[in-house]
Amino acid sequence: MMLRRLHGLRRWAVSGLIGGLCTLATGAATAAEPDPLAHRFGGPFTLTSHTGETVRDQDFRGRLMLVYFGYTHCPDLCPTGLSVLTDALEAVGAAGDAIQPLFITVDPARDTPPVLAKYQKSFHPRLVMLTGDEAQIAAIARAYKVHRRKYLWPTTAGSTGDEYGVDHGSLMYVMGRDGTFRTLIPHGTPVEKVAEILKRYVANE
Amino acid sequence: MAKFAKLGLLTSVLLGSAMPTVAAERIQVTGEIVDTWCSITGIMFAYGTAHHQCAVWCAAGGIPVSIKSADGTFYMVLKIEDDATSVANPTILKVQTHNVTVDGELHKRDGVNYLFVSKVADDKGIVNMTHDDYGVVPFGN
Repeated sequence: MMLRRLHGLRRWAVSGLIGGLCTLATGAATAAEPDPLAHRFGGPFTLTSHTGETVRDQDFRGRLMLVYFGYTHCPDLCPTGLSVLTDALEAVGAAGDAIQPLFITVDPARDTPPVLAKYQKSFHPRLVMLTGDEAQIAAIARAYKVHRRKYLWPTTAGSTGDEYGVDHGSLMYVMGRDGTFRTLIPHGTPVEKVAEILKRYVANE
Repeated sequence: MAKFAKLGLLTSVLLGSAMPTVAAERIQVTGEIVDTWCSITGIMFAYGTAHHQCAVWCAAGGIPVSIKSADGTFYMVLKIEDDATSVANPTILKVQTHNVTVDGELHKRDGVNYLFVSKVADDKGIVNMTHDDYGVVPFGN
C-alpha cells in the first residue's frame, strides 16, 4: 500500500512538475493551420450528471470543455486536481464562463449520481460530474486515451478484502468550442499556469 | 537557490522550443526510456538498471514516460506503436529503461514535447547498467 501510495503521490508530483515547467506557453492553434491533434483525443458522449440529467457533449458546443477524469474515492490526484481546476476557473474570472468544467468518473460502479453530487459540493459550482454504465465510461475513456486500471488494495486487519483503487490518467483536456481537442494540462499544474492557459484558449476562440 | 537553478535548467531541457507549433514533425529519436518524474526532478538517481523497478511501477500507474535523447531533450510519449487506447500505455513496460530508437510524430503543445511513436525502429535493451554503482533506487540496496 505504501508503494502504491508512493507512486500515487509521485504521479501527482510529476504532473505538477511538468505543469509547472510549462511556463512558456505557446498559444493555441491558429485557425489557418489545421491542428493534427484535433481528433486524437475526445469524442461524443452521452452520460449522466450528478443531478441525474442526461448530458451529451453537444450540450456544450460554443463553450470550451475542461475535462478531467477521476473518481471520488481517489486518495490523492483527484481532490488536488479538482481544487486546482476550481481555483484556476476563479482566477480566469468572467471569461471562465466560456469554459465548462467536466469531471468524468473512471469508477462508475461506485460513483453514482448521488455520490457525485455530494462530492461536487467541494469544488467549482459549475463543475458537472458525469457517470454512466461501464460501457459508456469505457468508451469515453478510450476516446480520450485515458489509462484506467482497477487494482485491489492489500488486505489488512479489518478490511473486507475487496477494497480497490483505480489507476487513471491525470491529464486535463481542453476541448474547443467545436468539441475538438486543443491541449493537455498535466495534473497539478499550478493554478496560475492553468488560468493562463485557459485565458489564452478562451481569447483565441 | 541551487534547487531553483537546477529546475531552470531542467525546464529548458524539457521545454524545447517555446514557439507556437501546430504542425506535426516527423522525427527519429534515440535515447533511454525514462521515468519522467524521477529523471526530471533529479530527486533520485533515475537511469538504467538502478531505477528500473521504480520506473516500471510509475509507468504501470499511469505516469507518462519520456525518452531522453542524447542531447538531454525529453520527449513525453503519448502513444506507442499500434495501441492508441491509452496515453499511459502498458506496452511501454516491455521497453522501460531500454535504449531505443523510435520514429514518430513530434507535437509541441504549450511548451511540452509530445511524441507519438509510430515504430520502435531499434531496441538495444537495457544498456545502462547502473545498479552496481547506485543499488536499487529508491527502495534501498
